[in-house]
Amino acid sequence: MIKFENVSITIDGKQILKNITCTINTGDFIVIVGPNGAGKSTLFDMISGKRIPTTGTILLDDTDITHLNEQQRATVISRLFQNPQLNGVASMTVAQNLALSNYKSKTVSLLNGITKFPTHLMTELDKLNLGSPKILNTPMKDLSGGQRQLLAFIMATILPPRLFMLDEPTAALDPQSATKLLQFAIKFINEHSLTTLLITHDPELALAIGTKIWVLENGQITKQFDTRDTVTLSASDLIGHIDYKKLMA
Amino acid sequence: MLSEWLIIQGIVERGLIFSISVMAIYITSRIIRFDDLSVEGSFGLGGALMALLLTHNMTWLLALALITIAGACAGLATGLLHTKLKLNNLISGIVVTTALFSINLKIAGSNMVLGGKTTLFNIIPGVINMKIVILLPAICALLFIIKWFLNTECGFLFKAVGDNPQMLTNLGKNAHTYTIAALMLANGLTALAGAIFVQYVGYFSIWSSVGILIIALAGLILSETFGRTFGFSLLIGAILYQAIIAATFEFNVDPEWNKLITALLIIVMIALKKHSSIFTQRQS
Amino acid sequence: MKNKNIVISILIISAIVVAIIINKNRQKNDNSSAIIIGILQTASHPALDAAREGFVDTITKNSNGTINCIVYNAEGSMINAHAIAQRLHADDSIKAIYAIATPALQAIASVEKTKPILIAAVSNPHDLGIIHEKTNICGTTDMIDIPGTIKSIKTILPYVATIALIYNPSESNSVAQITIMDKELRRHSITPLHVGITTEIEVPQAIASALSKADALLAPTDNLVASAMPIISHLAHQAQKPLIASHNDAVKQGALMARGVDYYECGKATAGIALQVLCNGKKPYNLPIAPAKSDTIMINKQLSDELGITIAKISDTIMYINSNK
Repeated sequence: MIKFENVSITIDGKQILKNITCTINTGDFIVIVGPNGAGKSTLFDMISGKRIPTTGTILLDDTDITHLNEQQRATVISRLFQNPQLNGVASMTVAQNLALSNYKSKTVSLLNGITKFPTHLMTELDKLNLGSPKILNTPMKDLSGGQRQLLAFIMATILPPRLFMLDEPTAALDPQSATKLLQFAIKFINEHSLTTLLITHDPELALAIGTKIWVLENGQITKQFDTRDTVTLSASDLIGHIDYKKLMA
Repeated sequence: MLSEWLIIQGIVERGLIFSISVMAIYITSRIIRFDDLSVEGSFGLGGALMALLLTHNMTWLLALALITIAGACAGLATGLLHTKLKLNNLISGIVVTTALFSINLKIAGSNMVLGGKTTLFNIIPGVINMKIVILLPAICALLFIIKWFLNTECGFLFKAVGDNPQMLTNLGKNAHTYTIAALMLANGLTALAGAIFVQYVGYFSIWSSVGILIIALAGLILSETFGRTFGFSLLIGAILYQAIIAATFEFNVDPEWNKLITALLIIVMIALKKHSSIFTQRQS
Repeated sequence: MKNKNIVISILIISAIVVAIIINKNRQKNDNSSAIIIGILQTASHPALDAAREGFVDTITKNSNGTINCIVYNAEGSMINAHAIAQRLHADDSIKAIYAIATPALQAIASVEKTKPILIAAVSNPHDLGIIHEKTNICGTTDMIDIPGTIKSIKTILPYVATIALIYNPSESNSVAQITIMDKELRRHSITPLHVGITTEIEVPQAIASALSKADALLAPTDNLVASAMPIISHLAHQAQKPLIASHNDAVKQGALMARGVDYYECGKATAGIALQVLCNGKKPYNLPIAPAKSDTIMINKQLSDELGITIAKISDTIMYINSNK
């Protein structure tokens, strides 16, 4: 579905991504791992349109989208940012945010802003404990980290996108909230066969979910693995690990 | 008793007219979070055009409509300077205000008298000395209309663009378009305020817009004592500031101290508001 | 919590209102029999201050304590002028209002239709559309005799071929005077150059540019020029070129000459009219608004010596003034 052909980008004189050539097929669930500074978020920026490559082409179904901006690509590509501030409107309520997310791909009208509230999602919201009137009327900034990410996920997928990108969605969450989010996410992605890209620092997570793993190091995709391969891989094969025993010795 | 009422009437009338620019500055500073300094230019533009159009025998209603559009153009200019030429918010507003000073001067000269033309205040014959009777319902109606608008889908997008412009991009909408739209609304309102003011005093003076920015900002800050949402608190804040200005004249000190006294009164009001909210926080 | 804020705000407002009422009652008891004239001054600068002082001094001298003046200053803000005007209109103990300069007049005229309004330092009251048959407005204007002024310039400085007209285009008084000056100058075969300034900050640059292109500078009665007189006269002196002003105080501040208005005298003259209205029961509409006399030419002695100007015999009276140094 999405093809990168020799894509490179130089930012402030430094080459962040070097000659990336890869393909994302429909239905793939690719987990991207790599050390800090490898260029993972920049790769996401290139796919979503936040940054334009210095050289190379990006194709969506054989159409050249290299020079389409983020706003234009947003109708088919959804992104969940690492910074929670960017995933919704912090000062508006949960209900207002949900209604807002439903404006995507529709012309803006002068109806009351809350009209497009996705009532069909109420059962799902109740299951996640996000459906009570109290929560619906809470400003998004007053939710807990876990609730906020869950809500952001729902908002980004109200209209299922063709490509869904998650940038370290559980990085700031405690294990319980992370589990809750991942359970919901995986179920949703499988149910809708969403083509997904997920960035994570957690190699165990990379081995546990998804259909493919890409390792990004120094601006290049150095290794690509398939689900069959993951059975024989260990975490340290991917990106190394912290040897706690050695630390304490 | 009658004389006190006249002073209060004047304070309320001026406060109501300026509350329109407080509404405008609420939209720019609090909703889209764009500090727009073109308020003074737009206020003058509204006044100059009103004087020009009335003396050329246009009806006041049509003139008000055209003036709102002209103000919107000033907002468009500020918005384009910021989004297309990447000028900083404050600079965009200053550039537009500076340009408008010359434009307003060319439109109406430094001073233009309305000369008894029919204005908004002639709607109800015989109440020419009780302009508050027309102003109060008119401004309240305007307040309700804007409040309704801010609760529509477009209004929601205005709030989003101020809080997180990325949200609009995520929705496939152009954040710049909505910023400019909000600036157009705000400047249209300010031009409207300037036009009503000229009808209120009977003449246009290029100096009438001097100090409008402070009046609008002070009105906004004072209104936050009574509430942070878009509503009657904006009217009250504007009227309260006019009351403070009037109060400084009552104290009969050397007139050169007036501005200092105004500043002190504002500080007192805000300090007491902060103190009372700390007090209630401790209680709960 | 919101209610507590409102309660506190109401308490503060009530406290201020009470303070004001007590203050006013105290005032009333002090001067229960005196008539009060409310003075509304547009802004603070020497010419308007002089107009105020001339008025107050004359009233005090001639009323034997029966008339008092309260001074309000709008400090250049039209909105303040309106707030003050409302106050003056509403206060019954104020029997008449003295408006200094056009913005003050317009503000008070828009609310006050019955109490007498006395004016000074207004160039063109009739152009403001506020004077009708049974008007309550009377006083003096500061309209200078422009043809006379230009004639004096031609006589005293015959070599001058180009004159820069320095004024603030946003003051309607100035624009009116400049139009007539332009016409008169051309009539006398002098080329006028228009130099507009809108803020004090622009002054040095604009004047320097004017001095490089003209033989002399001429300014009408203009509030901004009056405020900036020290710097304008300093620059003219440096360039050794004559500066001709239209108000007499300017000569003390370094202008070469002025065949103009003495604002203290204007204040005095208006006070005289005020006394006629308040003490002799004359009606404002029966007292025509007259320009102050301006046929005396004030000349700065030091400057005229320095520039080597010999004053030929002319019909106007000449008074030599020394600079304020």
